[in-house]
Amino acid sequence: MRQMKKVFQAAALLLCCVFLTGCAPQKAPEAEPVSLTALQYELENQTIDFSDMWFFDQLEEKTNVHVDFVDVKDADWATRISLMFASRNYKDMILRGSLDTEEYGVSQHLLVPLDEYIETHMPNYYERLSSAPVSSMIPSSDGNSYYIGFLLSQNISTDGHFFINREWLNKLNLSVPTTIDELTEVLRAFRDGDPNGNGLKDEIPYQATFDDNNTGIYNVFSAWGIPMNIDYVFIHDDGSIRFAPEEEGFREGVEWLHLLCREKLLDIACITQGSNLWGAKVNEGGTGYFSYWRLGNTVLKPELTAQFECMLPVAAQDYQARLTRLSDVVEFGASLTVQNKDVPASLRWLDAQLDTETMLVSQNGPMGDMLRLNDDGRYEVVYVPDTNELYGIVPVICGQFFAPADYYESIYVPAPHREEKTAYSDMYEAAGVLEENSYRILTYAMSMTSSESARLLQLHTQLKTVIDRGLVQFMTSGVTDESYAAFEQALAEAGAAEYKALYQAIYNRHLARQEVQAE
Amino acid sequence: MKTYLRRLRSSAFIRYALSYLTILTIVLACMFGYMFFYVEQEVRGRTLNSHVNRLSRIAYQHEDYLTTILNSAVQMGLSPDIQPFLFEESPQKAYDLLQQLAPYAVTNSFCDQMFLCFSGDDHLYSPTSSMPLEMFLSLVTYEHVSPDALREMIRHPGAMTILPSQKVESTLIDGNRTNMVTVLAPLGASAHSSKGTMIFMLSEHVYRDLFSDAIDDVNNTYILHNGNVLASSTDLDVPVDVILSNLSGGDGYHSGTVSWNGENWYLLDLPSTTWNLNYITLLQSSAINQSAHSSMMGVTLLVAGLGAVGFLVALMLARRNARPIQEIASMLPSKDGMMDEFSSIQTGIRELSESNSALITRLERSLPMQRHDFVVQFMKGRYQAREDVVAAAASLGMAIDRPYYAIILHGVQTRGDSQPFDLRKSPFDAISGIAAFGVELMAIKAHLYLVFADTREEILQLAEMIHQQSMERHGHAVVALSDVQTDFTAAPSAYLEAATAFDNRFVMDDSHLLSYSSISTSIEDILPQARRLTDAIDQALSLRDHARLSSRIDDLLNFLRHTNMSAFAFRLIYNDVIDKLLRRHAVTYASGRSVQAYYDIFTLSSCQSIDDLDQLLRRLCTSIIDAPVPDTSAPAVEETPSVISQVADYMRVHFADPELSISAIAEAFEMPTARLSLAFKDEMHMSPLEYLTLLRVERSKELLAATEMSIKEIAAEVGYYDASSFIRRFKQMTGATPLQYRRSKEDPHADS
Repeated sequence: MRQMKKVFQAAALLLCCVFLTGCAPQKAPEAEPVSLTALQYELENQTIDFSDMWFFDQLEEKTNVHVDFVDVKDADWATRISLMFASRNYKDMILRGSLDTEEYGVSQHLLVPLDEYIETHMPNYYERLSSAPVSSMIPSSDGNSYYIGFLLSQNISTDGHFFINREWLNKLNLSVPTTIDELTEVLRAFRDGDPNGNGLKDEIPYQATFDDNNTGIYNVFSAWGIPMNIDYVFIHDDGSIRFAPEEEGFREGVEWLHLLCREKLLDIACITQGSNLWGAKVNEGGTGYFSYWRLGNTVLKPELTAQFECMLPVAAQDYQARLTRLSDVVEFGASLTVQNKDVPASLRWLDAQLDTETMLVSQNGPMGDMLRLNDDGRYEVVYVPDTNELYGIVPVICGQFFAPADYYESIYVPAPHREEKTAYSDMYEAAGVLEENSYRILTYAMSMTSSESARLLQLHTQLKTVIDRGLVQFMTSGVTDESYAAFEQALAEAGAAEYKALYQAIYNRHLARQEVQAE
Repeated sequence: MKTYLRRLRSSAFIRYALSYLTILTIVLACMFGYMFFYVEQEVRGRTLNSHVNRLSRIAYQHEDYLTTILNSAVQMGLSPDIQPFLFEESPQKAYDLLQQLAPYAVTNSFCDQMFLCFSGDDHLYSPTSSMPLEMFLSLVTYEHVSPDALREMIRHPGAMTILPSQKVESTLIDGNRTNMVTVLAPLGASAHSSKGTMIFMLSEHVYRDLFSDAIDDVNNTYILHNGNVLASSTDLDVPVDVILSNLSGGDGYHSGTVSWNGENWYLLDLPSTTWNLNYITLLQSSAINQSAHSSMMGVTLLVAGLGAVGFLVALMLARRNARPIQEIASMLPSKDGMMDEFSSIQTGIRELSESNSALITRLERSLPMQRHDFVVQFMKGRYQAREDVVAAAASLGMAIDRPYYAIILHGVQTRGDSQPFDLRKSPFDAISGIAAFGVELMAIKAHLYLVFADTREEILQLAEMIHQQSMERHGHAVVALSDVQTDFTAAPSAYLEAATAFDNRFVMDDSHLLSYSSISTSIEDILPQARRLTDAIDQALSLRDHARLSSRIDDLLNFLRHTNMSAFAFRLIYNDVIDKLLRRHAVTYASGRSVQAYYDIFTLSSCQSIDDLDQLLRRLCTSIIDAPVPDTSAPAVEETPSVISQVADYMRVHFADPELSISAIAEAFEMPTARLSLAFKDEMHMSPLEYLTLLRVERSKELLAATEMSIKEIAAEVGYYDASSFIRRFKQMTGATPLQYRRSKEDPHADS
């Protein structure tokens, strides 16, 4: 009888549970429909209607937030931003691209400070933000955060790597050079030894472009311990800000470049040719040495890249090689203007894009055909379309993304080409040929006032003209004491000292703030 | 049935409905006719025009691109900063050249690629890169142009060359493969002075944007260059050869039809001679016809819809407009059961109009009577207050609420014209501020004008004008004017004043306006002088001096003529004069002609003017002076007081008794009243009542002048029960009210 009673009690309990389960709401009450407007950044070669994109339709169903996008191409972006703020008729949100938050947030107060909202309305973002060291880049000079960051940490530390034609080395019985002199000799051998075997002296030992750290000759100066970069300033190991053309080995570097040009070891067309032409020339098979992002890419033919192997940067005598270091930087993700109709709904919509699966879908395409979830809990790309098909479905890099390195590694199986790049980074890191602090800290991580930013831009333009003209002159005409003195004089007149001092002041302020935050 | 139809036809609703529907039908028929004849043509023309406009826009935009390209090539060729060099010799100049090209890249941003090639250099430069010509030829593959041909065109540029749109494959362009239109232009002002060649590559999206617009019609659009298709946008499956074979050539826009595959097509051709280009659109005829027919169908439906709506509106309006007519008709007595509503109303209105006009006539006729009554009542002083007067007048359309008024009497008895002046007409209407109303006084043969005005002057002006008009019309005028009054309840006094002035027409110079204010107010001022002049006549009679007598009579009459005495005073005076002369010379005329001849009541009563007195007096005096000299020895006749003298004495003693009446006197003297009156008048030349009044007025004058008794007290003192009767009698007798008389005695200069 007692057992019967227990059975009845259990049955009654079960019925109650079933009943209550049936009464419970099937899903949380939907938020009120909200309609917002956004200025959306678009790549120059894209023709996409963000308002009619599958990804954002799905997002609207999920969040009940409708967004009317105004798509703006890269070339028009800065102009449209200026016009929008000048018109006093702001969109609710500004998405991707870039934005001078110092000017529009700190100076003009046209952006919403987001700090007080993030914890409440952006749980995904808040959690990853606190675990990302680069988060310190986000606050502006007044301490407020005016934008949601975009972070795609690839766990790499290098920009361009040096690649040498292994087949040619083998054919000529040469080893990978480690010094500048050895490299010179190898290049001479490439020029004279007919390594491509066509009986013609048509080899171009060193193929390059001009003013960048990927395929450009700026990487040459690493042999003299100068991590020359597009901003010409770097953080020395002693913590001081250095101006690359003023460094001790710079003259020796340009003299070597002249030597390469004079002996036709370097394609002189590098001073004018773009990366497309560079790729076309490399693909012709007459190149023995170059620097590039990685071998697995869409520019170079795979059968050609198979001939090459990555090598460490060479060092000149009495110098230690120093190459530019890449570091994670938080890019601009999104800002809300002060005319935003519904800040919580806007942030809710943005944070929904940072949901792990949604975020990876926004980068790689829908689950199933293009992306899958592995048993280890990581997402893996299944299929990458050849054409721009992906851009019509998901925003790719024009969407919201925030993935610090550790987090990204835990959720994503990188593609083979990414693994290749990581391996090169590890190799260079292990060899100690990278500058200690990335120069990108100066331009991305440090907050500077809008007047400082404007002045630096002005000085950079002047200095770049002097430096590039000087390089062209030295490479084609050689270096003399007089010409180099004139070059130094021109740099001084272009404001090199002020440029360096300004960066030094900004960097000092950055260090001081870091100390305060650490305390 | 026939009756029912007849009644239906005669219904106001049916009449209205038929009228509206007829108008609606005419309007809709006109609309439909217009649309039938013109809309299809209009739609067809508008469709073609929109395509012509589109072609013009495409031509303008496209040639703007070409002009920009050509101008850039010319400017770069003329620029001193862009000078030819050999890359192999001066590679550093290539860097500078790229900087120079950058601004031109902005100007030609619609171009996908832009290259410069100096003559003899075999090296190409773009704003971002440079490359050997051979590298360019190896990297860029044209679908229809061989590398050799391209090399030749680049090395030896002629005039501007345009390579039609064709597939181009190259790693230099986005997507590596796209359709391109390529323009090769000499670097400089002309091919002869060219420094090299400019290559501009326009990708298909430039032309796609050019061809995209809001026109929905399916069409093919072509840009031809030298008869070849430069670029096109095709929706229709028509071979381009069909288009090319049907071009007519020539300048200016032209259109035509093309037949292919059993179907007709519209071909619109807009040639451009500048670049030898043709902008062409091919349209489906059936699509345009369909469009026109669709428009026609739409128009038909519109007209039908309007007709349906109009039909309902017409019925509704007819019903709304007919309803009041039906209601009116139902209120009228039906003359005929078959009579329609309009006829019923017409008949009813006619009857109403006739009855109304009769009523109006009666009303119009009665209005003058009412006004006449009002004037009479007003003059009798029957209104208690001014407001009552004004209100009563207003109800009769008489606007009398003015500060001043007066009464004018216009005599007409002597010259026969009994028509009163119409004071609303010229010249009287010149006096704008008056309101005048006339009545005819049959008893005195005069017209009475009751005149209201804003100023005294206006009233005087009107009276003068009436006098003047009467003089002009009849050569004679008797116009009497009362004093100007302000008190609307004192109208009787005003009437008395006018009547007094009117009565004086015989004794006053009536060639002027008879104004009451100018009448002498007291006999006392006149009588002593009259008696002195009578004594002078008496002396002349005694002396039997004819000349003297005549002179003395003239003196008397002149005196009287220049004295504005009242008629009453005139009678007293001439009675006194005649009586005195008869008494002095009683013997004479007793022995001669009968006294009755001069004291006959009719003779005396006919003496109404100075002239009458003149004749009477001269006749009397002549009879006295011509009579025999009396016998002075004969004893004088013993004069014993007659009964009448006793009556007169009695009245002088008892005039203050208000109970004293003629009948009481007659009873006291045991005489019939009528006999007493006749005897009294025979002897005293005035009636007993006039004598009594004279006594009372004379006494009251003494009291007014000598005492401060009130008018009412004085009236009672001299034998009147009420002051009103006393005032009227006093004014009739003296021409002034008692109060005016008292004031005149207190202040001799006061305006009486």
